[in-house]
Amino acid sequence: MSQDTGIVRTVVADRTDLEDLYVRHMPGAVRVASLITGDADLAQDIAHDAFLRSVGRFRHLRQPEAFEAYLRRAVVNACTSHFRRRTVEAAFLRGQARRAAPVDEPDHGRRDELRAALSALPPRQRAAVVLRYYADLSEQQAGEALGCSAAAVRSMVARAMETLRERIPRSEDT
Amino acid sequence: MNDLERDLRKVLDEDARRIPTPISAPEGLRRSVRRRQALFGGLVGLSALAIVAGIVAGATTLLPVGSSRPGGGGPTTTGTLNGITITYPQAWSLIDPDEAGLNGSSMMAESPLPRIMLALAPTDPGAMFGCPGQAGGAATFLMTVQEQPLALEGPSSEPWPVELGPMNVGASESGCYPDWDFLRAEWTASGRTFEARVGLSPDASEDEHDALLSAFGSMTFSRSGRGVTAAVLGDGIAGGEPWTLFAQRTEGGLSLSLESETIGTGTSLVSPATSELQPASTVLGQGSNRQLVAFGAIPTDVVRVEATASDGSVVPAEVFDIPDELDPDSNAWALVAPPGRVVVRGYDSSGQVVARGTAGSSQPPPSVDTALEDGRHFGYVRAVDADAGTIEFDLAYWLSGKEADRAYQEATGNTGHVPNDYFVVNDNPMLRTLALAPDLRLRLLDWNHCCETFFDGDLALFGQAVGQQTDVSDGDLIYRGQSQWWITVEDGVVTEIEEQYSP
Repeated sequence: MSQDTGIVRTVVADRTDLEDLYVRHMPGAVRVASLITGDADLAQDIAHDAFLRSVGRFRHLRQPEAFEAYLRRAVVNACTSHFRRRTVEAAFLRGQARRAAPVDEPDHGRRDELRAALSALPPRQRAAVVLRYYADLSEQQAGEALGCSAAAVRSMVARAMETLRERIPRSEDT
Repeated sequence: MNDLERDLRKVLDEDARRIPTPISAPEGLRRSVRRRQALFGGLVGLSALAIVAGIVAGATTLLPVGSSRPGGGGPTTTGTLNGITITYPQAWSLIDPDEAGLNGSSMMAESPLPRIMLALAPTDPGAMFGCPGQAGGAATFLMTVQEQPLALEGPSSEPWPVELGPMNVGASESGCYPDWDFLRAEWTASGRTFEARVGLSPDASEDEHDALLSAFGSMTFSRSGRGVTAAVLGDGIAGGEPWTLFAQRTEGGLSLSLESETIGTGTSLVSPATSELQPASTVLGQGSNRQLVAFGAIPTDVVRVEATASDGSVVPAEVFDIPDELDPDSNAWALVAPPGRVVVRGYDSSGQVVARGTAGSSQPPPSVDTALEDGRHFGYVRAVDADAGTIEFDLAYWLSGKEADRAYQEATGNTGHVPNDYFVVNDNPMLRTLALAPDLRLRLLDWNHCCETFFDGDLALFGQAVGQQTDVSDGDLIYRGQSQWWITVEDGVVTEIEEQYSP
C-alpha cells in the first residue's frame, strides 16, 4: 500500500487530512499545469480548481487509489480547455514562448530554443510531452490523463518530437 | 534516449524547479472542500479497507512496541469509548479514533455522522501496522465500530444484539490485506445506529477469532448526549440503482440529502418547510432505464404528496416522518418518476392542495416521434450500421451560459457555475434509428491539432469505435468511441455528423 493510498482512503472515510492530500499532490499538479500552460499563475489557479473538483467528485471514483491520476487528468483537461477558449491562441503562445525563455542562463541556447518550440506545440501535444518526459508516465497512463488511447499518445508525442526536431538545431550542430 | 529527449527532460526539469508550488494548504481549502463535501455527505458505503487502513495507520502511534503478539486467551479488561462499552483481552488495544486522528476535527462539526467510535486491534512489536500484509503476519485482525445516521427502518434498524455476517470487499487483490476475510454487522441500540467491520487475516488463530467475536458480542451502548443529529429516512430504487434519503440537523436547519452509488447527493436545505416546496432531484440509471428521483421537505400538515410527470402520469410520493429531534415542523417526501420536469403537490388531510413545487429538468418532454425534424441536433451516437446506412442516435441538449448553470444546479443540487461552461441534459432515453445520406460527411476532431481542426472520417472505423466504445486510431487520426456529436438532418436523413469538443 502506498502512503498516498492510505491518506486518500482516510480522507474518504474520515473527511480529514485534506491538507496533507493537498500538500502531497498540489506541487506536482502545479508543475504539470505550469509546464503545459507556460504560465505559473494560471497553473496555480488551474491546479487548485482541479484539486477541489477532484475531491468533490471523489465519491464517484470506483478506485480511490486513482486520486492522483484523476487529479492529473483534471489538470490536463483544464489546461487544454483553457487553450480551447483562447481566441487568440497563436498570439498567446508567442507571448508565452517569450516569457518561458529564461534570461539568466545564456549558455543554454539550444534549451531556450527547445522551450520556445515546446511552447508553440498544440496544447494536447505539449501536454503529452510533459506527461511522458516530465511526469514520466507510461503511454497508457498519459492516455488516461489525456482521455485518449496509448496509441494516440504515441502518435501525439511522435508528432511533437518531429516538430521539435524541425524547429531546433541538432545538438552536434551547436 | 536521444539528444532531443535528454534535452527535453532537462528543460522540463529545470523549468519545473523554478515553478513556485504550494507548501501548505490555503486557508480557504477546508471551507471550499467542505462546501463540496456537503454534496456527498453520508458516506455510508465505505469500504472496510478504507476504515481499517485509517485505523491501523492511527494504531501505529498508539500501540506499544516490544510486546509479543497476543493470543485470544488470557485476562480481559473492559473499556468504554464514545458510549460503547466493550470487554476484550487485556493484551489487545482499544483505540480511540479521535485521539488517533481518524475522525478529523472541524469538518466533522458540520457533519458528525458517520463517525468511527472505536477500534480494536492486537498489539504488535514494531510491525508495519500501516500495511498488515507486509508486517509478517503480526497484525491478524482489526475491528472498527462506526456510528451512522439513525436508521428508522431497514436492516440497520435491527435491534442489538446482531451477528456478524460475511462481507466481500475484494481483499484478495490487496497487497496490505491479502486474503483477509471481512465481516460486517449493522444495528440500532439506545437510539443510535452502528456498523461494525472486522478484518481477519488468514493467520488469525482460532483463539483470536473466538475472542474477537466474544468482544464484539460484549458491547453495550448508551444514549448519545447530543441526541439524534442525522437519520436515514428511507430508501428505494430508481433506474435500477438503490438510493437512500438522509435527514440531518445542521446549524442552518434541516438538510435532506439523497445518496446513491453513482450520483452525488442532492441537498435540500429547508428550515422550516413551507407551502412553497423547493424539491431537489437527480436522475439515476443509464439509457432507457433512467429515472428521476425528486425529494424535499413538507410541513407536517401535508399528509400526501403526488406529482404530475412529464408524460402526464401522476406519481405518488412516499412521505417520511422526520424525527422531532431533527425538526419537529417538517416531514419529507420522495418519488421516482420518468426523467423530465415534475409538478409536485402536497395535500392536507382534507384533500386540499396546500403545497406546490416543481423539480426535474426544464427541458421539453421527450417526443413520441422517433424521427428528427430537419436541422442540427446534439446527442450521442450509440451504434452505427455502416452496411444498412443507419445510426442509433440518443438526442440530448447541449446547454451553455445561464441555461447550463440552471440545469446543472437542478440536476446536481450544486450552486454556482457549471464546470467548463457547458452542461448536457439527456433526460430522454429514446434511441432514434436514423438513415444516413449516401454522401454523409463525417467530421471528426483532429485531436493532434485540437480543437478547431476536423478531418473527414471513415464510417466503418467510426462504427468500430462507437461499437467498442473506445478510441480507434488510423495513423495519427483518432476515432473516439465515446464522444458527443452534432448531426445535421436534411429531408429526414442525416447528412453530416460532427464531433463536439468537450474537455
